[in-house]
Amino acid sequence: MTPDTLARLRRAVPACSLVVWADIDKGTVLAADGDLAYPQEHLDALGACAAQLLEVAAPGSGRQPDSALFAGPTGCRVFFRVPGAPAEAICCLGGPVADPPALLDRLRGALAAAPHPEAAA
Amino acid sequence: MNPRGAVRARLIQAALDGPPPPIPATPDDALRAVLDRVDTTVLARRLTIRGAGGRAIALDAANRRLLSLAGDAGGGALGPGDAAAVAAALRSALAGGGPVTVRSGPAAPGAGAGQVGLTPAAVLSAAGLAPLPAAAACAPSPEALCTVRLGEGAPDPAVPEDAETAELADWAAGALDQLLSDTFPLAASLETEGTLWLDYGAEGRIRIAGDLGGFDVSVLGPDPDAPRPRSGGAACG
Repeated sequence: MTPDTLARLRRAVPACSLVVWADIDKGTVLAADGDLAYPQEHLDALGACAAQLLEVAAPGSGRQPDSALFAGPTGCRVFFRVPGAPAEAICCLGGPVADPPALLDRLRGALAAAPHPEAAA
Repeated sequence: MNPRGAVRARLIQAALDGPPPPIPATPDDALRAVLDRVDTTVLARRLTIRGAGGRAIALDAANRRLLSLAGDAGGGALGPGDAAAVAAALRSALAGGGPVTVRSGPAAPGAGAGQVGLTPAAVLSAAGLAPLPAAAACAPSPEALCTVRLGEGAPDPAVPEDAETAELADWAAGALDQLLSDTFPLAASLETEGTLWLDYGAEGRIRIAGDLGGFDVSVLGPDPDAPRPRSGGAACG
């Protein structure tokens, strides 16, 4: 994945104002693309959210989630593991949307159109 | 038509169309409609409400809260203790029944800065009316297989629960400890008014809806639209 992939991902899903690619194991933001130049602290906070949400173990099995959605009155945030690279996550910041799961589906679809090199291997 | 011309045409059409149709209402419906507008106002706005008798009342709202009543009805900052007085003032302004218009305009500079305000739910409660329907994202999900309530509004712990519900409640307490920690950037949003979905693939999904200190935690089945094979069920149900 490249910064250009993120730019294409955001163009494909206009509801996203910021897309961040993060290594959630190492706690590092790898790349970001947004309609504004967000400060690094903001990107780090999104990466930290992804890391914390994607390690909430399921009741019973202890499995970790594939994705997490957070919706509030002023916007939503979408986090999902990169297919083929579960230590990496895509984080998306968007405005209020009526159907956050549909936003996740659109993002996954757009990412599938520009696959991660390891996912394609 | 160039953009400037298009805007001009729309403005002329809006002037010809006149004001938007009024909200037909009984006094209770009118009060609910006004508070519903407050509940959907996030950025600071001044709402002017005009009842059937022509009497107008203006109020300042922001962050889905009522901040102050302007004019004869008040003017001071509102807080949680003012619910009954505000309900009475709004009821008085809307007493005639019939059509009501609500107009949203720019807020006064600095309106709402540092104010806690008053929630529409508190005014409705003081007026003896049922709460507004929850936002779509926070409405109880009909697809929930199992739901528990924690924090504010949780059921009496002395009431026995079935095993599945108790297991979910234990899990939810642990998860909330993790998610409400100081290190989690979304903790405050989740606690006040946020909904979180965690997708565990074929094992199903968990939905945590925060509402002013209370949490509804639900187990949902697997996402039927997700492009992956399915097997097994959810944690309880």
